[in-house]
Amino acid sequence: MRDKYLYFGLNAAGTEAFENHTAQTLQLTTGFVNPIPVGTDYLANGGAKVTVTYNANHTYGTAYAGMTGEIDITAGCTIHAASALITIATEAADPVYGWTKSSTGSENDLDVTQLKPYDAGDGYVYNSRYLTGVSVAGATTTALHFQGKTGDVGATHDLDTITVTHGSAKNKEFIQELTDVIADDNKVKGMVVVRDDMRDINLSAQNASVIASVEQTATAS
Amino acid sequence: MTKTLYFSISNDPSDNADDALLINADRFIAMGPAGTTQTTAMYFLDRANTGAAETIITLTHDAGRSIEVMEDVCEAMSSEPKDGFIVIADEAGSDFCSPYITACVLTQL
Repeated sequence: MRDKYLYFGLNAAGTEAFENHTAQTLQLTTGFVNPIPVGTDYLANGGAKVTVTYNANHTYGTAYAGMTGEIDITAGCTIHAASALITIATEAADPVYGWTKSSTGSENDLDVTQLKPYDAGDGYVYNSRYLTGVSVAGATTTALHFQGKTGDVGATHDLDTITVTHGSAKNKEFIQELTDVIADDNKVKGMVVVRDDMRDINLSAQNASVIASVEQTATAS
Repeated sequence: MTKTLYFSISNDPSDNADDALLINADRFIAMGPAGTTQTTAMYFLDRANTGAAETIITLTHDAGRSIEVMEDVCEAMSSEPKDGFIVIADEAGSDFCSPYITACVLTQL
């Protein structure tokens, strides 16, 4: 049986709200994610999205014509390489993807939402080879025990434990869904998402065991 | 089949200690974002087989591409080349398993 690579997205998406905002820029802080994101391509590469709550006193680029509610204006945003200051192009500067705030601050409500992991502990891929055991932790939780990332074996053997929350009394169903993936050398290749809290992805679309969330409950590293 | 994973840092030729590493793919334990938007770490059972230390490879990549890098690395590790030789990040040879990887660092703890 070949190794399978099991991904667990452990942390929920970071968010930062800018309500009643009076500036055309958004300064992300460690309240978003600690550390703040770096790299000028972070937004362009899909790391996060910027949304604004529609208001008739905003001016929108043509790409947003007819939109209401929460509007994704990420395409009109750039981010500083190191300071995580997001600048939103005005509609005058970018007639397609730009957005211009209302002169009334209380009409400007924006949010920045993380879309991909980057902080240590946001998520891990584990090699199925090092799944040492699976145990029922409760009616709605099953613990997966892996060789620790420290690499310590023998007398000081370390374990990393990932705990999956699923439907009540669905422990066996979940375990069987997981072992079906691990044992399938024909259809399973590459990285397999068992549960990703940030992107809300489960092991299967049917989600028969009603997987709801995942966390790392023990780690030696 | 025995699969092996190859890494090299930027020194060309890779002829000094820790310029490059070939490690058995069986020793790969885990991988995850490493605390910045541009780094992802791979954790292995110790290459020296001490059982009390770890070998870590930190991949540098485009900002916000950790999930894509992990997908590409897993895809590469799932491949079955005839010689078992899988290049994950050969910085000296500009050969990477993912278009987003730009460099790698070897850490032996």
